[in-house]
Amino acid sequence: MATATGQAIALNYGYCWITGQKLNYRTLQNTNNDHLDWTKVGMWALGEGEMDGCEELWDSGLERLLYTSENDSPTTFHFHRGCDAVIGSGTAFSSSGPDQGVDSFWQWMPAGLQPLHYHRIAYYSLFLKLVINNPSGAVFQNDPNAWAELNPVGLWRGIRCRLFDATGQMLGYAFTTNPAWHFVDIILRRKVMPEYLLDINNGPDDLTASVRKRFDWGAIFAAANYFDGILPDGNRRFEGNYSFSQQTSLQAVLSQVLQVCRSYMKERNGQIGLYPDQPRASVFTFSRKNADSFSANDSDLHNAANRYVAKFRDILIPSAADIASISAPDHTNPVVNTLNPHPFAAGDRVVIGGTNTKYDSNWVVSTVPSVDEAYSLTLVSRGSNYPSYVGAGGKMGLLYSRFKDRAPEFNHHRNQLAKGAIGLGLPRQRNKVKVETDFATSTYDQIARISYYQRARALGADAVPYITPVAAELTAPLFALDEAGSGGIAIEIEPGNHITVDDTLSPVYAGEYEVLTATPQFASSTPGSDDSIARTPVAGTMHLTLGPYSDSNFFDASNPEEAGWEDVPGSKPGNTSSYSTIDLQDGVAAFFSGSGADSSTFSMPDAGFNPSDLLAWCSPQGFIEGNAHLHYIVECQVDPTRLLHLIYDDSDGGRWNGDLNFAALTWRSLHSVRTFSQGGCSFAELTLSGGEKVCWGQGIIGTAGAAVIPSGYTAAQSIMLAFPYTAGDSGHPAHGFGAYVGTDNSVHHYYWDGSNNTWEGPSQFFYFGYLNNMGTVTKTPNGWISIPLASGRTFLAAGFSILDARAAGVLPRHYPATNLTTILQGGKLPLPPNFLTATTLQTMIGANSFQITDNDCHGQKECYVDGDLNTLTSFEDGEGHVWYGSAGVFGVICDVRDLGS
Amino acid sequence: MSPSSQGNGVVTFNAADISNGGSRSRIAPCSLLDVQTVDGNIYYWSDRALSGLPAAITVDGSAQSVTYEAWLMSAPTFTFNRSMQTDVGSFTLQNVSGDSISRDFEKVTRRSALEGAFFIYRYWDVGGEFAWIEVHGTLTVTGVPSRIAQLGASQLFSGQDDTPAGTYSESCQLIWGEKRCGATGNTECLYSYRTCQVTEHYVGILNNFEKNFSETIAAVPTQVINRRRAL
Repeated sequence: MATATGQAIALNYGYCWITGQKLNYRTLQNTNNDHLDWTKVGMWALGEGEMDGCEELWDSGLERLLYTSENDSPTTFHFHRGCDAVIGSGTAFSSSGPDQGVDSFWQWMPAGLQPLHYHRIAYYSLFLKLVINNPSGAVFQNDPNAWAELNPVGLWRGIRCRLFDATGQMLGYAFTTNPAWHFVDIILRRKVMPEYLLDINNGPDDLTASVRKRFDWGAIFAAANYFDGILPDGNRRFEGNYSFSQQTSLQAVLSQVLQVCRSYMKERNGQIGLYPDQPRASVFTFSRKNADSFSANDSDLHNAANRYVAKFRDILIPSAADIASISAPDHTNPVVNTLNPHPFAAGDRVVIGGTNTKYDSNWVVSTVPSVDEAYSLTLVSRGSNYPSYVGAGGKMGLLYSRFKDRAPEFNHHRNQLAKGAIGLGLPRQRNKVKVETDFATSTYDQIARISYYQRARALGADAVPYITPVAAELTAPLFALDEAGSGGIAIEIEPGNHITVDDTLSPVYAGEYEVLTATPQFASSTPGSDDSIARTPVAGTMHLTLGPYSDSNFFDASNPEEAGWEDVPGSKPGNTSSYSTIDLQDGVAAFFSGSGADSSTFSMPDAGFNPSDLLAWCSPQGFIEGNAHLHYIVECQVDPTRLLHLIYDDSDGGRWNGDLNFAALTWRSLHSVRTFSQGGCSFAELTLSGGEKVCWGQGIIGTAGAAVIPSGYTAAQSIMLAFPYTAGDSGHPAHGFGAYVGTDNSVHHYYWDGSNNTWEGPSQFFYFGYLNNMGTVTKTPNGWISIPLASGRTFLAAGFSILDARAAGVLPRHYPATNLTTILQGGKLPLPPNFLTATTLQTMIGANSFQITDNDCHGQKECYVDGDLNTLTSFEDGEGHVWYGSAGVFGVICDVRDLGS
Repeated sequence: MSPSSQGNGVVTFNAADISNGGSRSRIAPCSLLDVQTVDGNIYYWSDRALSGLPAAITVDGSAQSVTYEAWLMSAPTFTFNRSMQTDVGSFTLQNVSGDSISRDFEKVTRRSALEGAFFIYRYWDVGGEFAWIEVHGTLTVTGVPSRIAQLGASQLFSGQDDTPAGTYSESCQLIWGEKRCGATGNTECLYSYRTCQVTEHYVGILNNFEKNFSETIAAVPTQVINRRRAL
């Protein structure tokens, strides 16, 4: 049964919390199969395609997290992105997404119902039999009361947008939270180019030449870069997340987009432009000499609001507890102690942030003490690779609390007093005049910065003495010259321009103004009384409506103390800023890294990178104690859907998992990325801003096979690492494992049992090389390759083989010769000179050797670079014995130098 | 020489144009109005008769010189905003030429609708052959008094369009024969599934199924759970 009739086909951008419109829903019964009976089958429409995917899918009735990726369970959960259905593909029930074929779950719908493709509509379908919460007694498959109805609601990644450069060339097509690309997409869909093909593999049609001319790409590209700027708190300046699910006007929709990015739009010379309101220089000075008239007033203030209510849904998780400590003795569930009584219950999905350790992640609560006020809880262990103790600091919240409605207020106290009632003997009251602003889904920081701006722009600074801002009207000849001598003329002045009124024009109201409206009056002709056209040599006038302007109105920081409560730091979904962008000749690449559990999916940077443009690598970082001796790694890989897999095997039927390190390269570019295959490996050659070429590669190399160096590149100008991929059983328990590329360019993934039994398996191959084709590549004394970019930043890359400091300099027996820069003491990843803070550092790491002990290892205890750049590489046997090793580490930095050189 | 946008909201002209702009020794700028009706007819109007000027709108987009007829009684006034307010203006045209039975302007409006016609207005420097200001948009006839005709003008970006555009309906939301539809026949469909010529591309829902036992409609909470929050 559909409930969607008459509802708008929504436009969803950024991260959205959506159930969607119900398209079909059915409960199976009388199937002659108790396991099928009472299964629920349903389809829900999310909105216009092409949407990107699913971050979380919950059942709101059961408060149960079902999936964390659209690829989690092809037998029960399908997501269709909303591309073109293929003409001629028929109505066979064949699709499990992401294409727009007829969904395979239609086989469970009544025969009389017409199967549909839902062409261009993003939707999902479920085939689930979920047991109710807290069933009383045993659960029977044929008990209709034991199985819940489906009430799905999800955190979805919204529409993929075209991404352009400053000339309007389409560089990419991807999910993005950048409002500039939402703005363009909405105008294209609704106004300029609604008709285009949308292929599941090739994306949408490019713009036609005439459509391309309709936009001011220089302005839009500059705005997009401004929005993507990383603020001191590590967040991007402006992000947009909104779901337009009710039909309204295009103006209202665009107003919402512009609101969240402090911007305005203009249409000039037939081109639509987007302009952030940001500090900008005065472009024109008016004086008594070049202006005809000037009159100031503060009439706008009479009715102006002074109580700004910022309504939004918080994309961050509200903090519900402050962490006093976390302890995790050997292989036990981590114990979290909180400063205050906490609200968590066993089974809750929780988020930890702000500890600045590996604990900052999503967890499941294992146990909570049965007391009224609990100050502790245990988490379900995620493996060996978490610190055994973390002190006070950090916060914790419930994952399901995301999208909390909030409405903080930002008052202008001086204006409220100025408007307040007063009488003889009566103290002055505050008169609050409210205005509500809808910021859709956002963060407190972002809406506070914009609310500060709105308040200051309208009412001036909330300070003593309160000086009201001035509005003004100004008229000048159309061709008046700029008094500041720039050569500018009045006809050039545009709304949004910053202009100056000097004290010869107005001694009292001289100052800085912003042009709100510009009305050129072309007095070149007038109708004559005799039906003639009377022309005049006087060209006309420019009439300007002015508002106050101040550089200090554009806030890049908020005061968190004003917020009603704090959020869990870093609890944004996806990857909002944890990546290093690399400037290309045209476009941009991003290198990013992180860690994830087996069967988890890592997120793409949400500034606009398509997962089809991706090279990715992974390596073991930890293991969940399986009380079994490791014989080999069955699988260590990242699949095309970014799903991570790490499976250990004891050769006796025992298999267990662990966390993985991952790294990935992605890009958007028209001409600066050349992808090719060679020797079974995939490569992406990037032309960096300035012209230097570098190349990344990825592939599977057979046991002890030769590294694949792309044509034109040399081993001397390459950094090559290896990570485990898979292996077979040798009949021996391993004391450790490692992977590396030797000085002879052979690729190894090996195990050793301490009794001179060694065995190997295929490896994941990591390649990085540079050509030095422009002759600008240099090498720092500590091993970093340095390439100055034409954009003003510097690209650096390095490969090290680093021995864990706890190995006390005792070299593993099979310490490999790798051609990597060797660090045997200290165990720290060195930073290049002049980059001591390395805020854009991204690393990839994998164990390449281990000390030989008498113990059988159960897995990789830890292998990662911690926040202090310590390279931690160790193994353990599950009985408290820990031994160490070295790791191959690849690092990338792309930044401006943070020290003078 | 056309003005250029620097991408920061500032329009610039070259120095020679600027120095000449305000000079009273030069020919004063004039107003050029190119109009293309929905049916494709193109008209060139100015506030004085001019020939040999480059047209802004041509049939095939190629560069052409045309003659502008002196129908524009006065220059328009546009107000440009930095808000979401649509920039608007108006034109006044003569309605006296022709004969008493049928004036020229009335012939134009009878030949093809001016409502929704595409226009490009240029405030034209005749000597320098460039536009100081150029506005693109659509026209509406606001009034035709006896001797003049008044046209309203709004820029292409007029924000009153329904957005999102589509709804879930039994009627297909696409436009027959356009790219999203993909139909290539000669007969327009009736926008129903039964008459759909490309059923894979039908954008609609068919709500013809009611199940015979109860279910709970998805109850999506508007308030999320916050059991306790540390202040």
